[in-house]
Amino acid sequence: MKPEYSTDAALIAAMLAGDEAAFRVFFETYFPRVYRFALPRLGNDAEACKEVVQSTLVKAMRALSSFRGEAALFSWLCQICRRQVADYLRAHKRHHQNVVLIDDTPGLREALESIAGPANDEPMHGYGTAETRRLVQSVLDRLPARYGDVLEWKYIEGRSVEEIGALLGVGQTAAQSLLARARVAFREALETVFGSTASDVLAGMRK
Amino acid sequence: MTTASTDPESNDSSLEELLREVGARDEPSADAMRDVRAAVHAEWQAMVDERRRQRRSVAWRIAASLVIAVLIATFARRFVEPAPVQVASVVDIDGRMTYADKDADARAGAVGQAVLVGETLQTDGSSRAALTFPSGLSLRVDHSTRFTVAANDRIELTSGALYIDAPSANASNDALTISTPAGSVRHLGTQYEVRTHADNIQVSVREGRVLVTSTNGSNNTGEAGQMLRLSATGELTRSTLTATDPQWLWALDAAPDFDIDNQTLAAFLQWIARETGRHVVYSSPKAEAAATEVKLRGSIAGLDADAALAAVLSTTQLRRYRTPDEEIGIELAD
Repeated sequence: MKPEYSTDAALIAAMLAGDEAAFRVFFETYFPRVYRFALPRLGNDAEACKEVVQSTLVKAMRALSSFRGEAALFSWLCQICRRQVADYLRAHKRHHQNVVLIDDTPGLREALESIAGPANDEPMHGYGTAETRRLVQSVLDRLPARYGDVLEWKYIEGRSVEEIGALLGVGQTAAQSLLARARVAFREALETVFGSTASDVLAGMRK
Repeated sequence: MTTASTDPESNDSSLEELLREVGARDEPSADAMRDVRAAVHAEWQAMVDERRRQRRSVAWRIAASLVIAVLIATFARRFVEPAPVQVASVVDIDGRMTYADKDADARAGAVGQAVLVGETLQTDGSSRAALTFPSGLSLRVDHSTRFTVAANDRIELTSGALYIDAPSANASNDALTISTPAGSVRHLGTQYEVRTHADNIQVSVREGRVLVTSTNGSNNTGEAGQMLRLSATGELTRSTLTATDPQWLWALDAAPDFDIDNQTLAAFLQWIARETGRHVVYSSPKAEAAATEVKLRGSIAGLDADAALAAVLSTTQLRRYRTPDEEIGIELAD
């Protein structure tokens, strides 16, 4: 069972104190997310991505004591990663142009980063199927705690609530409750980013 | 914005369909994960080791300083005349405060200055100050106040007003006594104000109890929420005053800034509550635990209490909920 850290600040405090379990939680939670953040920005070059993510997380370790909890930990890591991507692209001429993703546009970046906050965005439509797919996956990565994982386990992998509970090291009731909160958070996040319900996003993808 | 369907079943099925359509997120390869983990772990370990080294180094420096201080003190005790007893330190001055002992003219006081037995301190009509005692007792000095430190446990208030915030652990045996021409006031672990009006004094009790002794020797206890007026002839009248009454605001103005850096959110909330006469109420044990775990960074210098509270909470996962005026309700944000 993974130890729980109620806030990003609590997790960072434990890491600064040398807590090995906290490092494990940090790495297992954020490495895949930062990897998925970097990969499309590097033209899906897996080797480049590995290098950039490594330098991002190494820089994060050096600056860990300066993390003030003003933004979510993942947003802070993305900020570092963006700079690492830019440095990498400058240093490696084989990538002739910077990959500008739709979720790097200011309005959408703000919407993605405000997922935990109130929705106040205008509707955004007209994304292609591939862009929509990646944006929905970005939304899953931005959800708090293990919400993205439980949604995937339940609806994509088809695992039972008991299995999810076992994976998380919690009882069936707690897993059920986490799943319900994850559904609500995901629905609200979709509204924030797309200005549409899940069925509208789905209809847009199937056009 | 498209309106969400109100049918939860239909919403859940569309979420499920959307997730299936989108598919699982890409997972990095196990090799990439292993390699990056090794590099990041090494960096993290180096950072932790460096912090431990720095902490040890600071501890050694403090220990060395203490040894030097003890040696100097021992030397001074043997060969130098005994110094006047330090009773308190000045921690905040808003405006100007002067101090004088019996042998010298008044000089401008400064933050950090030691307050010694025998000194007389004075603020003018637009200045306030705050002193702290080794016991943790905080003394706030209002406008136009003059007082003398008669002993390490007695202050003679000649004019103006003093506010005392004594920690509850401060035993009444070594409590500070405020003497005035109309009588004296001794606290029993409390927050209170003593204000002079010509020959009379007004004692307002915000928390705990105080013992008011008139010049004819009669004792009266003042309870939290009471205001006692004592005349020079020993006549006593009582009225009521809430802990959040605007009368207390000056004491918060005179308070030294609370340094939030590296403090827990819970400690900050306790400070705000104590300074504003309220108490903190958590919506759940989880919310209380979260407040204990959150470490704060930065500064609230220049912000009033409510603005500081709002600014600090906005950086955390906690927020206020509506409560009666005398409470600060804290809950986890959704």
